[in-house]
Amino acid sequence: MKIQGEHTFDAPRERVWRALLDPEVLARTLPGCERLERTGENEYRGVLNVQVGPVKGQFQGTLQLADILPLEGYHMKLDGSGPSGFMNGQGELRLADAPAGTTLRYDLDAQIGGRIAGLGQRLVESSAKSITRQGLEGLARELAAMTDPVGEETVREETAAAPVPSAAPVPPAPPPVRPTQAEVAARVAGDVARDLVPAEKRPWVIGVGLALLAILAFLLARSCGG
Amino acid sequence: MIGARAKRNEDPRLLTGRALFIDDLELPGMVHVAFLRSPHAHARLRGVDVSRAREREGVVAVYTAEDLGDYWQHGPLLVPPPPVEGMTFNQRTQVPLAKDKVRHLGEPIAIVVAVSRYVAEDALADIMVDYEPLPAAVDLEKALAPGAPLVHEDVGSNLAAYVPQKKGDYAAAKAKADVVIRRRFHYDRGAAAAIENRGVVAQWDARAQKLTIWDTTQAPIPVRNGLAAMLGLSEHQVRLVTPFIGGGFGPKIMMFYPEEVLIPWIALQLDLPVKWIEDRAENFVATTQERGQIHDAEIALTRDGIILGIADSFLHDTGAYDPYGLTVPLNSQCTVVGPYRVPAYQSEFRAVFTNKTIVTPYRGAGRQHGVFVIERLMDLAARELGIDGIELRRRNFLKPDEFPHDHAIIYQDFAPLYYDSGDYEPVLDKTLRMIGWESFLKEEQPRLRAAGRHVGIGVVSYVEGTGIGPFEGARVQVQTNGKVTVVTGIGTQGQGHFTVLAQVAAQQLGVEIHDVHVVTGDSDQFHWGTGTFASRGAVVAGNATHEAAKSVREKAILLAAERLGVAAERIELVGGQARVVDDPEKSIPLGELARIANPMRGAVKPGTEPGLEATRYFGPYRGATASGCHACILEVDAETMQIEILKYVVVHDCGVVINPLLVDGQVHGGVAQGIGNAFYEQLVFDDTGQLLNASFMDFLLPTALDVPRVEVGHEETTSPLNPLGTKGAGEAGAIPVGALFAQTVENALAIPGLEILEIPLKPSRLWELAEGARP
Repeated sequence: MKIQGEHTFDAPRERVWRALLDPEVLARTLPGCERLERTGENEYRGVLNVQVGPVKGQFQGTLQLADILPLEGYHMKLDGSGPSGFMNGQGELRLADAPAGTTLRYDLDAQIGGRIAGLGQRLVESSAKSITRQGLEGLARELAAMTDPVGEETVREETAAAPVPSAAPVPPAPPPVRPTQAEVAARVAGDVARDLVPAEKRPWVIGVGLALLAILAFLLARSCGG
Repeated sequence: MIGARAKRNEDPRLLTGRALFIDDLELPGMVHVAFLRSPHAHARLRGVDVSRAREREGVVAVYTAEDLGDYWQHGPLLVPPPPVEGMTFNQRTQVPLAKDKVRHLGEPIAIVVAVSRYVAEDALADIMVDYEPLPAAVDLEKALAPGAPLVHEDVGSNLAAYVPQKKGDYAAAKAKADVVIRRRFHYDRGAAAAIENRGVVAQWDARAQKLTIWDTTQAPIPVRNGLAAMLGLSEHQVRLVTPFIGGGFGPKIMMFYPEEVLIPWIALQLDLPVKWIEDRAENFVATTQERGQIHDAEIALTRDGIILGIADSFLHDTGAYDPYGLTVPLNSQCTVVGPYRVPAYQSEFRAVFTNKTIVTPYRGAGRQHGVFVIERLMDLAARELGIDGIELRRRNFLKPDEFPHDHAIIYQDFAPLYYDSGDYEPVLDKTLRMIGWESFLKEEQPRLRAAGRHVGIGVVSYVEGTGIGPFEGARVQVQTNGKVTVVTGIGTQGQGHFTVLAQVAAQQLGVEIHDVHVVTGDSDQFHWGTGTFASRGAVVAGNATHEAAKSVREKAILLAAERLGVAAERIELVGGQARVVDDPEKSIPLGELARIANPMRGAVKPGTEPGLEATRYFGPYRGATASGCHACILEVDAETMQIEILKYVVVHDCGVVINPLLVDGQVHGGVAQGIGNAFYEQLVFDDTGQLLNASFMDFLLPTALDVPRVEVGHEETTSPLNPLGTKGAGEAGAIPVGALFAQTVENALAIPGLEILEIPLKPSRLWELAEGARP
């Protein structure tokens, strides 16, 4: 399966590059990522929760970066496995200047296997797209909250030079809120539904889906209570 | 009684939820297991670390291949290769847990035993396996090409077997032919998808020194004997019970599955009852499958449509191992000749190892392919020669005076392929009448075509080898309460054995069918037998029951004659009584005779056996050949290529019909499965051997909406091979459906160049074929 595309961030190239090398930022932006820790030079180990259709699985895996060209991009290789199967991927991330920021181009070749492939096949592509989109949105939030070393000085100078001393200092942007597993899953489900169901039928399908969810929640509550 | 449309003895228990299925078993202290299965179709195992799983709370034990010690053995070869000159066979049977390398998706690597299935499944996540993924052999032709990834390196190629067979001189026949038609036919893989998956429960009773195994196998006695040998126990120390089973269809005749071998061993190791119930996700990769073949076949005919010869060369996908030998491809090879006079036949097949789940018989067991090839060739020949397809078939049918007919090649039971009896034209005629052939073609179809509808009609013929040996046995006993028990070693998976065997016994003993209690699949009650497969239950166990019941009858009559003081010839058994034919007031109940046959005092004559009881065995010299025709009318939506079956007719000849209601039921179920095979069910693998549709979301089964009411007619050509004159009926419903679908869809769409040479079809594929054929 190919995961290809590009996304333009409203952030300078240096900041995007820094984010792409920061395991903490990556851990926060990668949907379903529970942990990502550095284990060596350009090597990370982590835990990823993925849901594709009816299969929910935890994948333990490694992320290796290679051919790192500062501010340009790198090659990445991802290997994950868990009780519901395995997922492997490799490919390139490339940065380029854009009129209003920085463009990230990604070109990954991914392979999944085991139960997650057997049960979730027809949802795999749309789920992958959704997870990618959520990851990019998360990265955009991170970038908005990040400050550049140079930029910080500028802000400080401007603050210092402010004509109104009583003005409150600019509050730092709130740290980006990491979506919960449930939120990620719900967004994937929504994206998949949009992929599978034609627009005109969507309100109806979503309505039925919500009703089913409500019934399910009721039954679950009852069975847990009883 | 024989021939009665009797309702089933077993149904009250089944319909009221009182039948025992394996998952109903709850034993004190029982532990549960989960299997770690390979997510790769082909990978080297560099390491398996189960240490964390062993530490999880609630885990009782974890085993890998290393932990099995000497118990780690390759499974036995269940069916040896046929005695055919020039054949090769490379035996590679499955192992209980993979060591060094995994060869198909879902192959078990480790087994976790825990206090519940939940804990066992959770603990699977604690096991770390270091896989080195390898390229996979998936496509049959690529798997045989030089440089292909090897499933078994030591074989040197992926060739599992090569079997050439011939009858007459095909080259000479072809040289004389006016027309030779050659095509390539594809038949792809599906899953049997029984409603109940497999399951094994085992309990060791240390006090009795006895192991009880409940198993969903179709072969209770061979599995008991094999497990006893593997576990170092005497056969009588192992009791194997097959409870009610929700469908067998062949994959449950595969014996010594890894799970079947491991659960009893664990019960002995731990001295705890152990339970494993296969879930549907496991079933898609761990239970055997069938049907992948590619045929290159040709038929040589005269201008008048007389078959001079047939040649076929095909590839058969055997999956990662070949424990069931060559039964499936041999059936295919022997079914290509169909119900026709084929003077020259030349056939060869190559069985191919692939990195896919093991292939063993699944209802039809290779016969589908044979019927598809010959019936498609007949349709193509009819088109080419400008002869009506039905007329072409009539010209080539074997005539009643040509039986028994020797096809001079070796069949799956290693006896020559030999048709015992048959009369094909009356079956065809009845089918055409029931479907309304003439009036549909003359009146309805033109009217429907004019209205823009694509409604087609088709009819195909088939033969089905059934009722093969080696043997079955039965013990029939009259109880002192007058009821009769029949005990046999075959297992039952829904066929209705509790009724047909009761009918056979009731016929001899003059009792009501519901007063005969049948026990199947309990090795403590009867420990000889082979199993339920190859449409043989009613034929082989039925005739054993017949023979045993006949002996009991003789015994009862002699005893009654003695008691009533009349000659034995004057005694008849009616209504649960032995009575004097011309003096019916003089009678004695069967139960009373049973009591007298077991005296508590006094002396019996030398040689007397107690009780009204007899045990008999029956082994047919060779299999009986059933036959039939299927016809249908179906409509194709030319825009979506969805299909609706409007009418479906089957006329079947399985010799003497013991119970037409049950044969109807077998045919109905078979047709439903055949429809699934023809139009819905296909296992789709990618080129790494991943199964892409391993759930019922994507592997479609026909539903009640897709399966029409099937009208069944019966013809009876008695088999000379057994006293009852019966033939098998278990698979006939499923076998010719693909061939019929192809012919009928072609007729419905009426696109001149459209040739359907593959099964399964599906709307998207049909669309491609139709578009490809349009000028």
